[in-house]
Amino acid sequence: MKSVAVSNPYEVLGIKPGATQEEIKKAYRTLVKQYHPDKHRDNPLSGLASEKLQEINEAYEMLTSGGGSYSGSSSGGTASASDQSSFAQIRSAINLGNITMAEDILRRVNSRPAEWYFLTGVIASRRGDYSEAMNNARQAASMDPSNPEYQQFLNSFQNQGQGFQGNAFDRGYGRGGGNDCCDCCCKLWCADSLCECLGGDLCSCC
Amino acid sequence: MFGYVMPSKGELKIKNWNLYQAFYCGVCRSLGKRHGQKSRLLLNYDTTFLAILLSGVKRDYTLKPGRCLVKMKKQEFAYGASIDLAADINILLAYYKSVDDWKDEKSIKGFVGKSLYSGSARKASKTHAEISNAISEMVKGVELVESANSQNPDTAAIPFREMMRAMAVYVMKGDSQSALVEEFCAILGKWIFIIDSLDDLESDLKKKQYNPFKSQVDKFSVEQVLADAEHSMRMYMRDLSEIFDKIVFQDEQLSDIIENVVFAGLSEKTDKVLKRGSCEKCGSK
Repeated sequence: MKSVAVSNPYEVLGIKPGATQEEIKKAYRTLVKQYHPDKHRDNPLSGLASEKLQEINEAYEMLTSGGGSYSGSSSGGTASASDQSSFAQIRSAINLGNITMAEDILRRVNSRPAEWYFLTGVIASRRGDYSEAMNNARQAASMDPSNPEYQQFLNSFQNQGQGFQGNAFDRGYGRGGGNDCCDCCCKLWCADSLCECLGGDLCSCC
Repeated sequence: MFGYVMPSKGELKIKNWNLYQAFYCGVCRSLGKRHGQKSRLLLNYDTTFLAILLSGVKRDYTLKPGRCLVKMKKQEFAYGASIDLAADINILLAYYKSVDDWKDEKSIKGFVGKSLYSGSARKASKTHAEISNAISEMVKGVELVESANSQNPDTAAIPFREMMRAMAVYVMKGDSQSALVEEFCAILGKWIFIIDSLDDLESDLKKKQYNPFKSQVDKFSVEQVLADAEHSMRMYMRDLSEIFDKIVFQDEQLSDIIENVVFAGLSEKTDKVLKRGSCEKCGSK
């Protein structure tokens, strides 16, 4: 089962800290009714409802089974060995283009290290959910700023966005900033030719 | 949610601008004729775009000269089944928005809209039950998203996206290009919802209202969120432009207008929203 890493169970249940067991139970019951999967079957938002329900269940467990001993912080954390192997599986599923499988494995990972956010972002971007992808990419890069892979993923948004603008520019739209993708390639090609004229080589491939 | 889908006027040929006007005024005239004069106040650019998109795929319009009583000048008006359909959708969307405004904020505008247009909306929803179902599904979905406080903008956009898709399914029934137009409308719906969330970001935070970018603002900053959004919004537009290229339009001039919206109009709007109307060159307001 997926752990949603609840940070504040009181907030999730919409109650004040120090609420009685009676109040907790009452809030829990109303929320479960609201997000029950039966109510949201065949709904494109069923994923959101079940995610919320899990969060509520977890918050309830934290407040009841622990006898209200909830102390405060819990989230993030480092990845265990099993999570590490899940991440490797997710990567190979993404490489094979099997996004549904990648999502399934991701859902079963418990910890929330930078890599989790990175992979969530990659999957979201494959689905065309770019805001979700961007938010997760930003999160991963801020948790581990020195990781070149996360930084590169973040930059790829910029490049692809510029690609679109270059395309628009080619069709005659835009005031001609000149900073588009095509222009960049052209400059690189010129620089390479110049280098080759002088006996050197900038791009070894051509 | 209204007024984001417009052409970039500066990039439009004059003949295409005149045709755009003929459609804008055509939807206006259809509103007046089918739903009474007061409904012409509800006219918006997004439904004009819908009329153009549909007419571009089906080529079911005619142009007739006439005189606009508001602008007091002679011009052409577009008439056709797609335009009437867009007018009905305009009424339904505007009516539901008023109902929502009244319910959420108790705004006077919402109340006036709700009471003025309930008759027209009832009439339109009888003719197009599928559309009004799609809208009420969207309203329910938005309630769920807001109560769950989803902080994933793409999940939050699902109800609006699916409403746009359902509308395309209805209006394209039996057409061989239905699947493409559905996908086009779905991505456009997502784009509209997200740009609207970004547009309202500060005011939502101030009023403590729901916004799918709130946690991202808390973690980083408004500036960071807007800078990131510039790239993700362009990616949606890129996807949209790829589908645009696949659709075969029956009318070249309308296809040019749609191309303008996809490649220039949406970008222009995005820049305006994300840069908050400040001057690009000097950064001043």
